[in-house]
Amino acid sequence: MKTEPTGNGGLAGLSAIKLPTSFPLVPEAQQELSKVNLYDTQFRSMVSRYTDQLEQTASKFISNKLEMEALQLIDDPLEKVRESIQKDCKNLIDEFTSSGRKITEEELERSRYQVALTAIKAQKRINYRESAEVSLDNLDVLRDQREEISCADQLESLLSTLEVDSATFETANNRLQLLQEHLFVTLNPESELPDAEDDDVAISGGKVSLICPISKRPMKNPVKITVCGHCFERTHILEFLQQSQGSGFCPECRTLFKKQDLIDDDLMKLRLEAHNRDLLILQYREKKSSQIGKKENGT
Amino acid sequence: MSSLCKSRLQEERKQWRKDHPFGFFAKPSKSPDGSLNLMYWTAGIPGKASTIWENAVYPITITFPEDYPSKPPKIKFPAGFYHPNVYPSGTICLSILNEEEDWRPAITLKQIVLGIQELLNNPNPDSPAQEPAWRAFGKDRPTYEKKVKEQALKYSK
Ligand SMILES: [Zn+2]
Repeated sequence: MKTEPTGNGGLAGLSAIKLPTSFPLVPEAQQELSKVNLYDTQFRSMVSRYTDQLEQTASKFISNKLEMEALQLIDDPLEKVRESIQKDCKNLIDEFTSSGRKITEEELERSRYQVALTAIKAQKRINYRESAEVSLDNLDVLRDQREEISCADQLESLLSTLEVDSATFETANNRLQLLQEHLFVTLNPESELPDAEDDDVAISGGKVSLICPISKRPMKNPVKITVCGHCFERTHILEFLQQSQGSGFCPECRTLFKKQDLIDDDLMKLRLEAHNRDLLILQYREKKSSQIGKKENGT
Repeated sequence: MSSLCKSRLQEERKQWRKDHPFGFFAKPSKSPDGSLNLMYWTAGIPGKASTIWENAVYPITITFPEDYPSKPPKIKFPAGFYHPNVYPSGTICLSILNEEEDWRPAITLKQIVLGIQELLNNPNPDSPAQEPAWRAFGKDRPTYEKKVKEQALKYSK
């Protein structure tokens, strides 16, 4: 029993863990290990659910993308537009697939270790208890068993520190949520996000303002004050900040902020793009219907 | 005038012309050469119906500073205007017009004039700006109301 758990946390640590050579020691533990496959199936079904969700989102994104490019389709050569859509979507799906695969692999590996550990530990405890009568004959065996238990404990505690790294899972979930938000605003540029309960950012009657509160004109390069979430045109908030000697109050809610608290507001930018797209489509439709009107009057 | 100040004032004018509260007026002044001076406006605040301020439109002047909207505009009634929160010079004492208090660049002209209309009949006894109206409002309500009604006649529509 010289094997010590290797690795020091982190994802790199996970792949570095090697089960001690004495694992699995007893037939019962081996039996337990064979059940890992069963656990795999359960886990796989969970992963496949997650993947389905990703796929659905991706396909929604694609149809939305098509809608967005619909206007361009009117004038641009079809090949060019199609190429750009395909490229965008392929990148997205590739990204999804690789992150999904990574998560699956990591989670599978972890679950395998955990099942094995639990089984072996349980078995060792039983053995240890059963042969608790110490004699000269079983002294060595007992010591070995005790060491095996403590080794298993160490491994388990190491695995539990690795649980923190399910942050990877979380990151993927966050990205999925972000994508869903992006999809939502491209379809509803002026609507408040569905779950934004505690979010009172520039919302009146469920509507999100696309106007800079300083200039009262539509934004082009929106930046957000991270501390309060209010959004402004970049040049205007910077000018405002300059006039306030570098540290000012939010022009919307008077929360104090500094230049470092300003970040690009990508979601707002997407809202603006989608809003402009809607305006263009509306203009195009009006033009079209007035042309039809003229024709009808002409005949 | 900074470009931000100018474009914001143009936008305020555009919005006001498109839509403004009933009974109010607001317009930029004219320079001697006939061009518009966006930095200096005249406006009128109607007293609310069923108050002692009713049936009159009270004139104000609005002066926008160079660094508007970072800094609030300065708003004045005619000198000697009778109201607890108006200085003898006519300057209005209202927290949303005070940079140190509640001014926010997001506040629009419409919000300002509505705020002033609200202040007319709801003076703030905690920030006296003139002796006569403040004292009468607190200690001699009949005199206060008489004075306000006399003033309303002066500015009657
Ligand atoms: Zn804010």
